[in-house]
Amino acid sequence: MRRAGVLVPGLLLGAVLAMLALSHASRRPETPRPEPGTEQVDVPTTAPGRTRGLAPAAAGGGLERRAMEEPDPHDFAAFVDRLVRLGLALDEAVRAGRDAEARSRDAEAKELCGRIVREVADFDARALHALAGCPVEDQGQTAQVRRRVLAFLVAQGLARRAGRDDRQARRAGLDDLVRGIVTLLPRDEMLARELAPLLVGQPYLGPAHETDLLELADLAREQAWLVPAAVELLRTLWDNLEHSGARGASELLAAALLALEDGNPVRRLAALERLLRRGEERHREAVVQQILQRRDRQGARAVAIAAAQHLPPADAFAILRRLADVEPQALMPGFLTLGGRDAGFLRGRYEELLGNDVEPRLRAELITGAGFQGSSEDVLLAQTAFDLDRDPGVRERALFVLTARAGTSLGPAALDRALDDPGLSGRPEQLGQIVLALENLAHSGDPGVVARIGTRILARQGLLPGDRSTLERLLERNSPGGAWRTPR
Amino acid sequence: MILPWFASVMLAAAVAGGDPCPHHVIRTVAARAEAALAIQCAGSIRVEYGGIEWRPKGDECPAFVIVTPGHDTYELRPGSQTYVIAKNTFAIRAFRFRCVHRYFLFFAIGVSCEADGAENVGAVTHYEMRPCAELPQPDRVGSRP
Repeated sequence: MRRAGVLVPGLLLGAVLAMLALSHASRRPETPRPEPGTEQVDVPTTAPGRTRGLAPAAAGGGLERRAMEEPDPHDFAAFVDRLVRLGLALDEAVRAGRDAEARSRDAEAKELCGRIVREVADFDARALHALAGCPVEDQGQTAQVRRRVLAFLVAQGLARRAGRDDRQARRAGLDDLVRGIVTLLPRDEMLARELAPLLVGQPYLGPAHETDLLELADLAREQAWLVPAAVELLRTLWDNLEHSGARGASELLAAALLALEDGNPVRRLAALERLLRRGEERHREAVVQQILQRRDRQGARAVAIAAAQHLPPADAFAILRRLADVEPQALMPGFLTLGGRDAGFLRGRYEELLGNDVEPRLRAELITGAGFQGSSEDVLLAQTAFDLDRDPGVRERALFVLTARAGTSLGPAALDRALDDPGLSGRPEQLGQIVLALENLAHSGDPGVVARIGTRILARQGLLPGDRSTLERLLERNSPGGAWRTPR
Repeated sequence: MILPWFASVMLAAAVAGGDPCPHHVIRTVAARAEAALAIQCAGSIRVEYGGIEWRPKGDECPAFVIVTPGHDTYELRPGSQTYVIAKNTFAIRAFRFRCVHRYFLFFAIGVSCEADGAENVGAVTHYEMRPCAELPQPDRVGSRP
């Protein structure tokens, strides 16, 4: 885990937290107002002081003593300790299947969170501060639950501030907390992983954070692990600016077109995705053209997934097809994603291409994308490809589908046929692929069948040394009674 | 099958020109993991395979993560006086996940992103480079991928 020594953000954070504390020092917490789509504490009506303690059997150590005591309303740490303790007990109850106990612990946690919201001033800023101070090195269960509790409290604070009636006060309070979060992100990867999702896809980022995010994008040039989070935050900011009316859609598209030329990977990737998802045909064309001209493999991967997730299947397919030259390996995730949305569309495209006997590379991806969805039609398509397609690459992909998804019915026959066919097993690396397909079969197939086919492969000349080892390990795992031994 | 086809064409050209050395060098391809169709879900998952460790962002639970292991492929470099031979076949593996809701709890501990299987969906070949001075018999000439 990397921790960057970023002095300026550290100072900024201190200032922001101090500002947060001052702005709330004299303010009584308000009744939270849930916002649609947010998971916010429904403050229980139980009077302070009536919160139940943990059962003695569940407690232990110094933490135990603190958890058993009634937390002092001014002692935020005591509240957190108690929530951590409840979280651990809840986790244990869930794992052990003790339903009633889990629900009871959950109710206690909910009640306690309600108390924190009501009784602890600036609980969210304090939680953020405490989270920033958690040692990265500590990966123990208690430390993980503590981090989760603190992040949860920050999330509650965001939702609560966003739900305030007074628009001006709401924006001011929210902006400060959001800025505190953004400022913390470059400190270390774990913090970024925990905190960025609290803002992504939420309405919290606003005009006040444009500069903060541009600075974050600049920092991401040197700290590559920041790039994915920074891209998502920038995308969220642009969405929020549009939804709130702070910026017009066309203004944002124009800015994204400019950012396409930007050397900053964050601004560029966010622009690529925005133009693809929110733009018109001409914007999508600009995106694809630029990736093709620059032979931008990172951009191709991002756009392939975004297109497969968000565009109508025919449009996504057209884009994936064009990106194939830049980054062939971006195709598989894209086609699997598209297959998850509409496998029938992929089946139709495969049949078209097979009928014309064109674009074998695309046919292979269509077989993977549709075949691994696993319906009977999808498996049948893989069987058709295995039987009829003339391209060995397509047939190899079909073999992976048949051994993974058709298991005992079609998998063994396909492997036997592959071993009988010089076009599929004539070269050493093709034998290696058959070994890997046999691995698929081993998950669902009869160990005796796996041993029989494996022994056939082992007898073949030309099996690569590494593939031979893989096969021998597979056979050892699958020999009936564990009696298989490497032939001498 | 573009790469093997290309290799065999290069081999034929090299042999036709009287030079049995295909002048192929290895190019290292870094391991890569691609995730898709993520939904929000609690729990921490990790994929470790093929020389890469992948973790989701926050509480994301992807429908799948595809890992292409790091490997050495090859390319033509005239004058390199080297050839390559295939050493291993590595699986491109799809790891599937699902978000399991055990309890609809206030504390997101009863919800977890869990592994739902892994399948080999494709393969890459790992090559080793050797000097052409060590070229063996003619039938082994030239980067038989």
